[in-house]
Amino acid sequence: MAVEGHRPSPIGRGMSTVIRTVVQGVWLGWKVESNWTNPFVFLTYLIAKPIAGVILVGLVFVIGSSASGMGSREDLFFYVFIGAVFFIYPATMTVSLAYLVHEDRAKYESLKHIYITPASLTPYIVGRGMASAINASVSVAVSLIIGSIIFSNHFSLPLSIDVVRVDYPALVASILLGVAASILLGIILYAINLITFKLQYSLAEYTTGVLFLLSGVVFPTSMLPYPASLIGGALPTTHFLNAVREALAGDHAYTSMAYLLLSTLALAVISLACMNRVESLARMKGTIDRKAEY
Amino acid sequence: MYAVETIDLSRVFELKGRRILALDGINIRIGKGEILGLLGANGAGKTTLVKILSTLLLPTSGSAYIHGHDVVRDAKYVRGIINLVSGGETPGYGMLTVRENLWLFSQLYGLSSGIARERIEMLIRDMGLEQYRDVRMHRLSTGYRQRLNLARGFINDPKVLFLDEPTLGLDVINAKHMRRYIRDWVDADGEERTILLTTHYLAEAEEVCDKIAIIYRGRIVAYETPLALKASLSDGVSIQVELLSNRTTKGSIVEEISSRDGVLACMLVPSQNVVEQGDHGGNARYDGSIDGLTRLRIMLDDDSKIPDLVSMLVMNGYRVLSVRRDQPTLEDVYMRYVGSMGNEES
Amino acid sequence: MVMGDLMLNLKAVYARAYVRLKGLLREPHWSIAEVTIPLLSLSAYVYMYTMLGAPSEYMAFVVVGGAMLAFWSNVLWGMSAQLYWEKETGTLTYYLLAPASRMAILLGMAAGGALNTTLRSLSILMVGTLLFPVEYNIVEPVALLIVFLLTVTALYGMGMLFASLFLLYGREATHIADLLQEPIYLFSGIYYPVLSNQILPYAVRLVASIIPLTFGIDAIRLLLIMGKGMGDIMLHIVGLSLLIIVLIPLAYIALRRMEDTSKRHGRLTLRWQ
Repeated sequence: MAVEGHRPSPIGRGMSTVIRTVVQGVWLGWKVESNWTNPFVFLTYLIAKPIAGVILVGLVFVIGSSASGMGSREDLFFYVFIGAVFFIYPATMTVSLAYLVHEDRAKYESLKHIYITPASLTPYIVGRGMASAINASVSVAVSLIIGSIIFSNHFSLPLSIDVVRVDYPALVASILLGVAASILLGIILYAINLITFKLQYSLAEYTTGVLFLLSGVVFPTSMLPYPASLIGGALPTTHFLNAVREALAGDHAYTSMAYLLLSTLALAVISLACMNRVESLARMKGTIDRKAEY
Repeated sequence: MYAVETIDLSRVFELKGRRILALDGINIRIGKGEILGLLGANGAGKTTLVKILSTLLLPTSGSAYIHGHDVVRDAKYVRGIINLVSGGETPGYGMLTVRENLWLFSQLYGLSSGIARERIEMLIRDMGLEQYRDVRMHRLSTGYRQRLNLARGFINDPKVLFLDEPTLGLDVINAKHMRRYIRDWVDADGEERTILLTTHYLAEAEEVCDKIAIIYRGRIVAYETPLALKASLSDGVSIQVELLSNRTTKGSIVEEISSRDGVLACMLVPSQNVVEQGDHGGNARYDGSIDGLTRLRIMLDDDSKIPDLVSMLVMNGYRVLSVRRDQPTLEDVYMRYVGSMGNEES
Repeated sequence: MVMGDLMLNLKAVYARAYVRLKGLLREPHWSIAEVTIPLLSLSAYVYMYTMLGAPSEYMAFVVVGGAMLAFWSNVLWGMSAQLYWEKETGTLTYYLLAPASRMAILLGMAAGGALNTTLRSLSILMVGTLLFPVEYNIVEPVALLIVFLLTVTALYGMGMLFASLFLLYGREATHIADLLQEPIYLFSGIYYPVLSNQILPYAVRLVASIIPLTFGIDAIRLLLIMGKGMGDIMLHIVGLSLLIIVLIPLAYIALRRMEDTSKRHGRLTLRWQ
């Protein structure tokens, strides 16, 4: 049955569909992931887990530096702590997008319904990634505040951030680029999971594990053996964390930001090509509505 | 001693402060060697009854016995002599093969290796699963999964088997295979084997069941052999009427007819012979109209009411194309007891 | 009758453990992931200790902690959340229909899981030892074996208890497992010594002792790396034994009560309630 009077004009219809899909993805992601009405879920994912991760890194720092007898090195603590806090962005977002296939395909069985709409999957994933970024921002803010209070008060390790010196435009730009890079990485993981089954539970964890090791989160990438150090240097997450550290310290962050921009653009080319190929490949392989069972 | 006996069995669920009476004083007695078909709409209480009898759920009041053993107090003994197969469920672990899944469940009943091996091979053969013996379950089609599920139900050679909509979602061949197998299984040892089968398919109930119980809002409203149930309608007349109309509200004509004096039941003839709508069935399946053509099945207490009925239809703007007298079917029985609503019960 | 019950339940234990062992062979990518992923994190912490100039035994602490982490993950996901997952797939119904004891099913899950995880844990230990300059100093291997067995028993006792409790919480089971993951790394000292270290407040160490992993890792580190003997880990042995004595009967009671409550309210066989 034709419904007249509601069809968008052909000009701009494509763009309008993309924007609507992104917004729909953000809305759905917000509803699904940030279950604000359930304080338990909110506390678990947005507060307890991220804070525990940050405090864990901080305690390793305290115990390791105390065992080495090097005393409290505030500059190193700043490096490690800020690395751990802002690593929440790529960790949360890649996990969220990698699991999205399993969630939509097997748990809610909604992937097939999304796939058969005229919209491409990519704007939907971008929308979901943005919802995840909003959640991650809450976790980052809470971890930064609570973590710095704990380490400053209980372990005499104040976080050397001078609010006057912080380069706010660079900080905001770095975070936006970091979020974009995390969404693009998430799209690649989504694409892999869309055509495979074996990695749907582990791919996210492999990725966060590799990023944690190679992105200079808690130690500089220069300590890694070759070629791991080279890979670390090419990852946008490495430059994202460096740019954030520099912006917060009020240092010149633009070199790191330039690297971040370049690596994000490269990632964009790879991830969009991946998704483009995979959307039709999944249809050919019949993996859009198939469930893995163990 | 009956294979299954319930005495004033009731079950109340409390959902968000609401009390729902799922079973309301159920009294049934199933003799050994019988297959009892339990018919009822979604939410009528069929599955609740099966769950209580299979020790998965406690009754709120009343009692139930399997071969004389209380399902609450002697649950462990009862579990050894019963089994349950539900339609549309996953029968085990996807990464295990058909044979391994059956072996796993055989061990939960403590079968010795020799007996387990023998029975598994027999069931694989009986269920036509030979070529899938060493295939992992997640690779099986729905039909073969359900065959495996049925094989699992027979693994302990139960005295009482509960089949909860076992042919749900199965194609005609698989469903037929399953019906034939359960009938043969009971007939092979009528002294010891009993089945309680819940189903939405009246033809299925008529084909395999010795007795039929109709459950409506937690109560058994009819309990007899299929023949006796149909005979119970001998005081009435069953007719099928074909109408042409431009009216779109089919429900109103059903209500109008149902409310007339002498009408026992009235329903739209569905496109398939099912008692109720599936979850996704929508109204389309129940609307027997094609381009204004409406087919109704009406039960009257007396054939003298037919001319009055036809007059009423004509006066209401319908063109009566045909009036045909039918033999009562199980569907008429169901409609007579459950009424013409045919909808899910809340 | 008693013999018959025992045989029935032993068969059930074996059959349920068999599913676990088959999983190890049938889905090798699970094991690869469970060995590789902890190695990635533990490598990062080894580099961090190196950056801080910590003594070499700290690297060994991390490798041993990372190896023991496999058990905690298995207890959380392979035990605690597993039963809930089996409810979702409908398999739990089949277990509940059978006359075998529910405890036998849980024991089977635990036995299979413990055996699988021991292999994975040893793999992590071996690869970690090959990758980093880690040195061990074992004086009393028997004590090491005893502590290891006590730790695994207590951990799986906790897993059995959680499995029952998770059924109560229905849909939130995975959230609870998730909540218990990272914070436990923090308190149990996966990457640093907790009990023999004064850095964490006393109250935190006391609470951490409820988790068998805390005592277990600490004792294993003392015996495997620090060259200590039985005399040095008596507190750990007492602690672990007490946990076993408390956790396993609690698991049994919780399972009974859970089944009873669920049967009363119709929860066990309802999905996504």
